[in-house]
Formats: sequence, C-alpha cells, structure tokens
Amino acid sequence: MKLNAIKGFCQNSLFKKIIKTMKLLTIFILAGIAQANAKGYAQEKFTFTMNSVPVKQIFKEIEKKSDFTIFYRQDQVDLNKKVSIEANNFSIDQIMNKILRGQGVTYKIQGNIVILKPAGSELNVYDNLNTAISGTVISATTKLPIPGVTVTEKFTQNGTATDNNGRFNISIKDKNAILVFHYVGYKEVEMSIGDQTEINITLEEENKVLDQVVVIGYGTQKKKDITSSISVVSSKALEDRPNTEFGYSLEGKAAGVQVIRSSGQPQSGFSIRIRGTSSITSGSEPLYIVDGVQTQSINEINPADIESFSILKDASAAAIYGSSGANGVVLITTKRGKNQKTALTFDAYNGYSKVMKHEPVLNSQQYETLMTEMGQSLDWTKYSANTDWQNELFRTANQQNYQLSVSGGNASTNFYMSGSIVKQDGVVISNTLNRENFKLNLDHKVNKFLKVGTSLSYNRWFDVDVSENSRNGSILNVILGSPIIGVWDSTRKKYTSDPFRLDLDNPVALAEGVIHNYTNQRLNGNVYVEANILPVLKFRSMFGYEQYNSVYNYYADPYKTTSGRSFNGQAELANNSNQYWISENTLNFAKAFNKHFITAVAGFIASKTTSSASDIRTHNFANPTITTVNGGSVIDGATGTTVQTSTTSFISRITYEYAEKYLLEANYRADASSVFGPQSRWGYFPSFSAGWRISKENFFRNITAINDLKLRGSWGIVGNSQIGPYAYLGTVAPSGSYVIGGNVVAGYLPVSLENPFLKWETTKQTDIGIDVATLNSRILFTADYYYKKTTGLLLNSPVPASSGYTTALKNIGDLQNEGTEFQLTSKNLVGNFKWNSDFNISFNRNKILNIAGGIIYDGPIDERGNTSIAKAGLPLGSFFGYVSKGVDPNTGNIIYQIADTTQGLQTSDQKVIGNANPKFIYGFTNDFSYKNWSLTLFIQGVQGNDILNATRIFTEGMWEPRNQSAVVLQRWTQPGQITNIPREDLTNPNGNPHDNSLISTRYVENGSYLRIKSLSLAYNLPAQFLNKLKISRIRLYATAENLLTFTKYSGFDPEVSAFGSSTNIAPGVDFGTYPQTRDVIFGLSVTF
Amino acid sequence: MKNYFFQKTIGLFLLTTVCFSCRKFLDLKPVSAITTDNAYTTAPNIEAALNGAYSSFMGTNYYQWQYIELSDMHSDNAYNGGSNDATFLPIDMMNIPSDNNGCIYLSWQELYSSIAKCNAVIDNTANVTDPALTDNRRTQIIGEASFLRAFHYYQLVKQWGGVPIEKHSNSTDPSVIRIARSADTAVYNFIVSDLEVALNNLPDAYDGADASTNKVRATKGAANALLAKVWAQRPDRDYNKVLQYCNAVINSPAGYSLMTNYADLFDGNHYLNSESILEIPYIGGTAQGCWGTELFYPTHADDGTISADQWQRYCVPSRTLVNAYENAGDPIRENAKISFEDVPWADENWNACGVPDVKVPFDVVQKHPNNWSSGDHIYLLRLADIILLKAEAQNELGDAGDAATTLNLIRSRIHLPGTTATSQTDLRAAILKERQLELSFEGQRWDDLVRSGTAVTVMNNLNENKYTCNNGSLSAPLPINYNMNLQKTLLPIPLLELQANPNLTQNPGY
Repeated sequence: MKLNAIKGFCQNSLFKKIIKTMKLLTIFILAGIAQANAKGYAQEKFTFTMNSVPVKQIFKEIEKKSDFTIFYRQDQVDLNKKVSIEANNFSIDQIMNKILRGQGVTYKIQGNIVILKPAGSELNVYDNLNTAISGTVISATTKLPIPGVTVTEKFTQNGTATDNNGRFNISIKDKNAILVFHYVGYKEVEMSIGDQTEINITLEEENKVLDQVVVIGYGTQKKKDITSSISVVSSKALEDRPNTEFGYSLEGKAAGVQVIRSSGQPQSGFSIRIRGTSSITSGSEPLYIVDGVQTQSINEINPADIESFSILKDASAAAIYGSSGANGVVLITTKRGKNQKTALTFDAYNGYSKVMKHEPVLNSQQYETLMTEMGQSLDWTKYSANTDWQNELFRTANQQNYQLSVSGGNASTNFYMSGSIVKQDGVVISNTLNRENFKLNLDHKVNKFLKVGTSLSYNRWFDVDVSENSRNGSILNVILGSPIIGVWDSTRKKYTSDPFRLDLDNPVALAEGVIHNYTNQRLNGNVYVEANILPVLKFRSMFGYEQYNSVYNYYADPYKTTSGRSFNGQAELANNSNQYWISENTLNFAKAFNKHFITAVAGFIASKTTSSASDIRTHNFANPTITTVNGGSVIDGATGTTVQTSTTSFISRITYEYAEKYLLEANYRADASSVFGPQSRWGYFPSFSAGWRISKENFFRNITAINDLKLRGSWGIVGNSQIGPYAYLGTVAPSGSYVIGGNVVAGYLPVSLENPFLKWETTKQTDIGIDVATLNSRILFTADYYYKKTTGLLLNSPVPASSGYTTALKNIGDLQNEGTEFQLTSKNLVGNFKWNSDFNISFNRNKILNIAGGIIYDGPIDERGNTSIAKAGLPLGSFFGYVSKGVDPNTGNIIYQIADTTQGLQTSDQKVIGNANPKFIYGFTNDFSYKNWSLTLFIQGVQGNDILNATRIFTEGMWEPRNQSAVVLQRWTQPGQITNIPREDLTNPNGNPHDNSLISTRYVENGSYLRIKSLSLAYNLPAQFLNKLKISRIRLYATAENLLTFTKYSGFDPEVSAFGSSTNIAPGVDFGTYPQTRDVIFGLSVTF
Repeated sequence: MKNYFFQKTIGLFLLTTVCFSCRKFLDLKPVSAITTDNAYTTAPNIEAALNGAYSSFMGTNYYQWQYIELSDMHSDNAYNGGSNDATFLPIDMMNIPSDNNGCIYLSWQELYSSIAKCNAVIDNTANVTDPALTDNRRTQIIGEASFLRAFHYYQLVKQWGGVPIEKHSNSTDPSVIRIARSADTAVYNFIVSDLEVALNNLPDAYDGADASTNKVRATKGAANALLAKVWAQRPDRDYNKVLQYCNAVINSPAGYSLMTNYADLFDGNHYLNSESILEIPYIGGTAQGCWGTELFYPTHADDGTISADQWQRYCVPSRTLVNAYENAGDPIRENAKISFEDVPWADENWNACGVPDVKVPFDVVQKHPNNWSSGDHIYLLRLADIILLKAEAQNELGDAGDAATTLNLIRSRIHLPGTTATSQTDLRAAILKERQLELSFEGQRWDDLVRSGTAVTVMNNLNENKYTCNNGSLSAPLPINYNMNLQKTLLPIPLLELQANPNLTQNPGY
C-alpha cells in the first residue's frame, strides 16, 4: 500500500536490494494488520543507550528491537554522522526527533514504516477517506466514449463499468488507491487517485502482449505471469489461412510444435508433436481440450469457431492434466459472445487445388521395351492406349466453405452461434470431404453469485478416401499402372486391369471403382455452473458429454472391378459409436492483498468412455442394384464389440505472485485409470515452476530499452496412458469356429496375454526459459531450453511369432528429448505501412536410452521388410538398410557394402542409413498492411532430415512387370555402361529377383525443404462506404497455399510420413503417399 | 445466501468425489471378450478352447492354400502362375529372398499361433475343476490338442528344419520367449511324444459319432498316420516304426479302406469317406467356406466358361506333371486332379500368345470355388498316402516283393497294371512316382522329394520352358533354370522373426 512512498529508496546495490526485498516481503504480508494498528506502533516505547555511533546503527537497533522498518535513499540522507542517545521509554517520534535534529532530514511514520527524506520534501500521508470518483473514458483513436470499460480498484473486489456515454462512478476508501481501466482490445491503464475526484482517461488501442490473458489448464493467466512454457496462437492465424482443419493454422506458428501432415488427402488430418516424440508405440498426440473438455477427435472442429489456442509445452503447464499431459496439451477456446451489439458475420471462400509435380513415367512404347527386356510377353497388338495415369487420376479440385455466425449479448447473457458447410475435394478423383458444423456457446449470469453456461456443437462429416501408403494403393499405381490400357474396357461396363496382373485394377478403378465412404456424426457439449461462494472462492461444476457415431460403407458391384467380379459383389458395413462423459468439479481461490496474489485450484474429475463397434461383411450379390450388405448371400464375418474405460482424478494448483515480480506455481494431480490393473492404477504427477520478472526490479527501472524481462524455470512429471482398454488383462476372443458333426461349433481365440504390472508411462521435464519485450513491446523474444526423459515406455513391441503372439504391450525402455526453441515477434514498421513478423525455430534431439530386449524394427514395406530401427543410442526414426555404392558397370547390379565377401550379402550388413528427424524446424510469418490492404507471407521449413523414398523401390526397381518412372530409361543395359540405375531385376541371373532394390542408401534422400506455405492478400472495404450500407466490415482475400517449395527431394512432396499415424518408430517414409497440393483460395467475409 | 451456496457446493463436491473414487468405478471388466483368468474354468470353456484349436485348420491362410503352394508349387508339380506375383514367384524359382517374404512369415506366424491355441488347451485342461468334465473327456481333450500341436510342429520342422519349441505360449517375457532353435531331431522327438500322448488318449472313433465327426477330429487313426509320416520324414528315420504305424492305420478298427472310384475322392460329393483319415470340413457359401480354392481355380461364369475378366491362378500344373500322367497312361487321376480349359489370359508356360484354342491346366482338387467360399474339403491325411508309405517302408526294409504288392493296391484301383519294378532301387523310384501321381496337389510332393534325397537332382534336371510372345509369334523355348541346391530344401527363417528373436540363427544359404 505504501508503494508510492517507498519507491526510489535504497537503490544502491543489488545485494542490498535483495535484503530489502525480503524485508518488504515480510512487511507486506503483515501490511493489513499494520494499517489497522498504525497508532499502536507509534506508541511503542524504546529503552536503550548508544554512544557516538552512526545514525544508521541506531536504526538497525530500532529495527532489531521492533517491527519498524526504516527506508531512505543514500544519495539524499547521510546517516554516517555519529550521535549519542539515551532512550528511556521513548516513543519512535522522540527517538527520531532526537537523532535527526540538525541533520536536514525529516521523517514520516506510516504504520510501522519510517521514511526519511531531506527536510522540505513532501511526503505522502496516508488518509482514510471515502471518496467518490467519477470520470469519462474515451478512445484515443476515435475520440469517442467507450461503454463497458471495467473500472476496478486494484487489489480489491471494488469495481464498476462505464455506461453508454463512457461515464463511471466509483467510491474508494483510499487516496492511494489505484484504479484499473480495462477494455478488450485496449491497453490497460492504471491510475493513482491522489486528490482527484474527476478522472478522464484516454485508452489507447494496443496489442497488449504482456497483459494478454492466456488460457491455461483449469483457468487463465496473464502472459506476464506465466512461469511455464506456453505458446499461444490466436485466431488471426486461422483468418490468414482459411482451411478446413485447424492443425494447418498451427503449422510453423509455435516454437517446439511440429505439425505433420502425413498425407495430402483433405480428410487425413494432421498429427502434432510437441517437443519431439516422447513415446515409442503409445500415443504421441497431444491432449486436445476444447472449452475445458477433452475431445476424442479433432478433425471435425470448425476452425472458424476457434478464438485461440494455448499450447502447453512443459511439464509444469501440463502437469495439471497428469497422465494425459506427457505429449503436451492443446487448449482450444471457441468464440463466445460479448456484451455488445449483435454482430452477424458471413464468410465464404472458394478454392482450387492441384498436385505440385508431375512425375515422368514410361510411355507405352518404352514400357513395351522394358517389359520385353524383363522377359514378359503379351500380344502387344491388342493394346493401343498410351495412358499417363497421373492425367487420369489427378484433377483440379474445388473447395468451398460457407459460414454464418451471430454473436452478441448484454450484461447478463452472451451468445455465439454459427453454422458452416464445407466441401473440399481432393486432387485425386472421387476423393472428397463434406462437413457441416453447428455451434452454440451461451453464458448467463443469474445473479451476483451464479453463472451458468453451455458450449454445444454438432457436426456431420462425410468423406471418400483414397488408398495410399501401400503397394496396391492408388497413388503408387499412377506410376506403376500399365500405360497400354485405358480406363474402361471396350464394353465400357468394367474397368481394365493390368495386363501382367489381371487381378489388379487400373488406378482409376482403385480410386472410384467401388463405393467406400465414411459418415461421422458428433454431438458434443458441456454445461457449467459457477458459484461465487465467497468473493475469493469460486466453485465450478461442469458436465461434458460427447456422442460420436461413425459409419463406413463399402460396396464393390459384381461387374466393374476385379474384386467385385471375383466375389460376385462384396459389401461391408461398419458402425462405431462412442460415448464419453466427464464430470469436473473445481474450487478456485484467488486473493490479492497488497502486492501478494495467491490463487489455488482444487478439483475432482471423473470420466467414462464407452465404445461400441460392429462390422458385417458379405459377398455374392444376387442383384447389383442392392448396394447394402443385406444383398450378399454369404456372410464373411460379423462382429460387434463394446469396450469401456473410466478415469478419476484429483487436481490441485497453487500460485503465488509478489509484486508482479516473483512468481511461484505448484501443481499436483493424482490419476487413476481402468486401463491399468489394481496394483498400478494410480499415477501421481507433481510439478513446480518459478518466474522472476527482473524488469520489475527497481535496479532495472532505468533500462528503458527492455520493458519486460522474465526468467522462468519449471520441473514436473507428466504421464501417458494412451493404450487400449483392458490392456493389462489377457483376453480371449470368442471367435474361431470349427465344424464338427456338420455343425458349426464356437471356439476361442487367444488375443493377448495378461500383464498386471502394466503402469503409467512417466515423463519428467525440466524447462528453463526467458521472455523479453523490448522497444515498448515492439519486439518480443522467448527462448526455452528443455530436457525431458520418458521412462517406463508403454511399448507395443514385436515379440517372436513363435510365442504365439506378434506384439505385446509392456513398460520397457527410456527415451529422452532435449531441445531449444526460440520465438521472435516484432513490429518492424508501425504507422500507415505496418510490417509485423513472427519467427520461430526449434531444435529437438531425440534419443532412445534403453529398450528392454534391445531392438525393434518397424515401418514395413511390402516384400522388403522394415525401414526403421529403434535401439538404445539412436533417435526414433533411424532408417535401417544396406549401404549402396552404385551400379557395377560390368553386371548392372547394385554394389552393396559387404563385410564378408565370401558370405555375400548378409542381413548383418544392414546399418543405420539415415535419420528422419530434422535438425531444426522453423516458421516465419510476415504481415504487411497499408491502409485497407494487408498481405501475409508465411514461410515454413524443416532442415537436416532424411526421407526414405520407398516409393522408388517400386517405381524404379524393375523387379515386377509394372510400369516405371522415366528415370529407368537410364538403366544399365550393357557391360561397361556407367549409370546410377541398375539393370532390370526380374530376369536377373544374379541372385534374387529384387536384390537391386533392397532398402538401402539408394533410397535415402535429403528431406529438407523451405516452402512458401501461404501467401494471402486481403482488402477491407473502406468504412465510409460501408457505413452507408450499414455494414461493419467487408473483407476480400485471396490465399495461395504451398506456392513454392525449395527442396532436393525427388518424390512428389517432402511433407510425407507413410506410417506417421501408425508408429513413432518409422517417420519420414514415403511409400506411395498422397502428395500435398497447391491451393488457391478466394474468400469474402462480411460482418453486419 | 453465501452459506447456502457454500454448503451445497461443498456437499456436491464431496458427493461426487466419494461416488467416483470407489474402486468399482475403475474396475471395468471386458464386455466383449473373456479374460485369461476366467476363460478356462468350465467344461464348455475348455471345449470351446479346443474348437478354437481345430479352427486353425479352417481359418488360416496356411491350411487354406499355402500348404499346397509350399509343396506342389515349390516342387516340380506346378508353376507359380498367379499373374507373376512377386511373393510366390521366388518360391517357385527357388530364390526366396532372405530379407522378407510375406508368405513365408505368415505361414510361420500362423503355425505358431495355432500351436499357442493347443498349448492353452493342454496347459489349462488339467486345472479345470468343473465336475462336468469327465476324466475320460479330459484325457481325450489333451490327446486331441497334443495331436494338433504335433501336426503344426510337423509343418514347421519339415519346412524350416529345427525350430524353437514353444511348449506354453503364456509369456511375453523376452527371456522366456526368445527361444533358440532346437535340432530338427529334437523337434521330431517332441512331435513323437505329443503323438504318443494322442495315441494313448484318443479313441478310434468318438462315442456315437459318425464320419462327420470322426473324420474331422483327431483320432487314434490320425495319430498313427502322422506317426508313420513323421518317422519316415525325420532325418534319423526308422522304417520299422513307419511300417508299424502304417499297419496300425490299415488295420484300424476305424475301418479305413480305399475308395473304389478315385474320382469320387475329389468330385465334391463324397467327402467323409472310408479313405479319409482327417479332412477339413469346409461349408460352402458361409464364413466356414474355403476361400483359398479361388486362388487355384476360378469361379466360372454361368455358362461354365472362365469369363474374360478373370485372372491367372496360382499353382498351374507343370508340363512335367502332365507328362508324368500321360507317360503313366493314367487319365483317371489326371482328370480328377487337372482340368484343361480355355482361359482369357496368356500363360507363359502353356500359351504365351494367348491363342484361343490352346488350353491351360488348373489344379482342380477342389472343384467348386464358389466365389471365394468353397465347400470342398481338404484331405490332411488319406489312406492311400499311408499305403504308399507302407510300400516305401517295406522296400527300404528289404522286402521288395511285399512292397510291390502294397504299391499295386494303389495302381489297381485306377486300373493300371502292376509295377514292373523289382529291384529296391527301381521300386524306390516307382513308389516316388506313384506318390506324385496319387497325391498331386495334396501338399505331399515337396516332402517326398526331400525325403527321397532327390530334390536337387529332380529340380535341376527338369526340362521346363517358358515362352514369350512378340506380336503374336511365339518365341523359342526359354529353359527355366531352378538352380536348386541342398540348402534350399529348407525355407529361410523370416527376417521379421530373426529381428524379433536375436537367439535365432538363419538357415545356411540365406
């Protein structure tokens, strides 16, 4: 409370500063009491005698004997003069008067604080008043009053808001009170009252970076108060890059966050790795929380409904999510209504996509030559086509999105509702995604004590996908497909098939020959009630529910495709239904007094998930016009299963802040999950963090260049339990029928073995970070170092098939991730022409420390085995294979590095041949604006990673009679020929038919790329024009995605990960992967 | 007001806390699966586990078709066919890559998972306390499971040599399950011990049951038949034992006898016959159908032809085999096993230019593929095989005269004159030839070649050709070189298995 009086004293040394600080801390803890007993202190009596000692020594004696603290500035007051005093039951006044006499120093006692100043200077005097203050708040930009500005007395619950004329009235008790003026979008102003009764405030619109409120687990914090590592991405990122899935908006925007698009299919989604991969076979996706409720699937969320993302990266931030936090947490906050005029916004965009690259392939003549060389025969005269399947399969795809949203409210009720329709076609024919979303967010203040609200969303999703990442997938077959056949046979009733593989349809047939689609519906929502039990204590109870249904339909008619013909029609119907509920009860405590600010959260959470799946497959259709499973006369299989999981958790957090300078936080969560056995069901997850805002220290006050500097550190434990239900139990499925006596008898099929010791995967993470804001927050810089170690990895590891099983889930192995990340945000130009930029770069090093049992291989390529190895000492994502030393000019075969030439090529000659992990990843966003125009340029890249281009094993291998990429025109055909493409391998007399296309360094390529990910130009129509139309805003924009890519990678696209969604061991493999596309989008946004 | 909220909310908080922290909420039991701790407690449970063990015959790729591929296609009886499929061609051509072959790994994995089911039955039956499980039935169950386990291990040992002997399949502990390979004789000893248990525990026929049970379950006859085959096949063979067990089958109270009409065995209407010792009882047009048939022989169009959109099937009968039937003057068995038909594709061995009037042969041991759901059974053990083994044993034991008599039992059925061979060597060759003709496409040929020590010479002396077609004109014959050697009589241990089990060693030559 006496801050103003004390400011500026004792600026002599850091050391002294700290000592004083500690004293201050004590003082302020007692401050409330001190005020009440101010008179009492003044009446305290002292008895002592000191002869010829410096004045300051007497002060020390007083401080020692009493609760008084004496403040002064050394440059103003000389306390080295020696005096004598004989105090006999003296009051503090008496002592002061005696020892300060004739020294040109005056004093003031405030409570138990004694302030010394040169005689004649004015001292603030504490006055206890009840003062009515009023005033007007106007905007600096518009010079108009702002209604709805909250005006609060700092450190108290006392507050009000401005009326429609921007006027406010507030009563305060204390002349020293500080009023805080807060309005969204404007810089917060703090104003000391003093003797004023009428205060006029001008609020400046400003990007209040430091005061920005950040959503954290079970609460919010101001950015400046955060002690853990959290990245925030605002809805601006979504606006700049209109897209159907929000993951794209996170790409390259936050340091330490890698968004991996494993495929270019619009429905394929994305996977996110926060600070590397911290599990080997257990889930590695972060936890997604939408408006406080964990969500089971993120693909269906409508990005336009999102207000902001908080990405909790370190253990301290994520520990409140305990066992779900090990991979980091993405908190998604959707838009909510405000106390403002109802706004209606209509958004629409229309876009076009194309593949970025055309891979040259052999034409029909070159194909015939190669096939003949490979010993294949055919009556070539029967075939006249010359088809490049890329032209048949790839198209210019259209995407459209329409969204209507309404939001608004009054002082007690706010609402946001929206509906949207998306239709996005893929660049491969038949590939499409349709989505409809509906969203409603509602908040209502019942009275002073009670607030209720809901978040509801419903969406419907329909998609048709395309087979990829396999040998017989559509994408690989655009190259492998025979060029001598057309799409349809001469009757036009059925698709052609490969003349050398008559059971394999042409690529167009693979993509569109059969009906196959997914229809998903999701209803999710929550209701909450918040009760202000005490001014400092709030109870919140939330109940969330999610119902998710998904239907898969497949039908191959009996004529068009080979599969349909050979089964005389084939159909499948799969249903999945998922119900999830969560009940969350929390108590929130927040208390500010003087400079102390304490918050605490305690809560209890329970949740349960029930999933049911059924599937029926039939064939032999009597009538092809029936496309549903009931039309098939033979039931090939029918299953229906239900699984459940439940969890309970206790959470707690306490934060302490002193003077916005010293920040402490501790979290503790206990989690129990039904996926573990009773012995190891509970997991315990503590974390601690601390921050020091050095810039708030007095000694920093003169360094004006840096307006904020914060050091922070954190440590914590988080867990991972992303494993299947009943994982600890050995299970036996009731399937495996036999026929005895002509009757079908039911049998058992052992599925898995019991492991009652299965327990939580544990990740310990330490983070040290620094946040700097300079040049009046025009430049913001954040740097973090982290080390995280995961132990007891939940590993679904391959076991010898001789055990009767092929994989088993166990807690084996340790893994570490260590890295640094930097984020730099700057306003390079302000004024009419604005230029903001945001750059982030992350370095992560992953290392497997230990895998019980030694080695795991994964990333299976048809007919070639695994691409990747996991072993202690190696990073996850190490490629494993032979070392190719080029083509032998004499034989035309690949020369492999062989350890023992007498033995020939052995499996022991395989080595680690590449690393899929980038050395660093980066993103660079530049926003330019001039008047109504704005331009956003977003560059993103990864550097130093390898890609195993397994596609080339099939497109350049020449070991089966399929068409090949045009590079095989350089193949070896005669002795002495120097080339890097070996001979055809099907009739190779030397060794095995595919020895030349083993997984080897031949297919390891540099995967680095730099990409102009997006370039967006927008124009806001002038206000004068819009005012006449009574429209608030019209924004027109054009966006180009994946405009330019700089890479040495030879495949369709370097952004690939064939096994990205199925295993962490084998990232960075290209195996007939659907390529990313180049998109151009035109959009319009109108707000009424 | 404040107190009201306070009390109510705290109360609610405590209520939910108490409610959900109870252990019951977290102790969820599977809804749609049984757990290993309660799966094997009652008599019906153990019967279900045994049914599951039998289902391996029906449900695995191995017994649906790879059993045939790895014998008849691998050997001189058939070409790969199958649209140049890259997985099976190397098996036909004796150049199986050591790195990975999906078919080899799948067979290995399926056989061991079949063994795991048998192990579960054997290990758990002893612990069942349900009085409904009679001692007699308990003994039988152990006998049946032991027989099945022996059958699967026999498949493993004859294809890969010594393999790991997994007796329990109840652990995932690397130190327990990373089992090194045993010597092949040790695996055979284990098989023999299982079969001796089966022999002691199993009946000749189940009480009150007819052929539809006795021919599809393990019986004393089946155990004797397998013992005869095992003692003949193992490297330290004992033809006295072969003879002993063959005679036990031939003289069995179960009354096995040769079918009069050979063609009836494979016409689809005479399964569960007197000649059958063990067969897989597929039911066509149901989930219990055999899809593997479709890979050998296509479902025909309604007019009985192979329609123009069909594709080349696997296991195409070889010229060697067709010539063998023709040289032997044996149309009965040839017609029962092989069907020559017009096909809409080119066949590199039989009709490279796809000329319309040149027919291509199919393996038609199962004649009704029925759109991937055939009801045609597969014989696993058949009396004719045992009679020929008996002849082999008699001959090897120096009893050429009786051997010829036994051999002629098989020849006379298909109206062929008695063998002209009299010396042990000639008879040995005659019996081997007879087995090829009698048992073609029944998964026997590869084992016969290996057992007789003729695999290398037979495969390398084949006079097989393939052809190419250039604009309608057939090329000169291109001799097929199989490059067979002794090491190739064993399959490679799958790379995935070597990677998962560092204690394994690869077979030489891979």
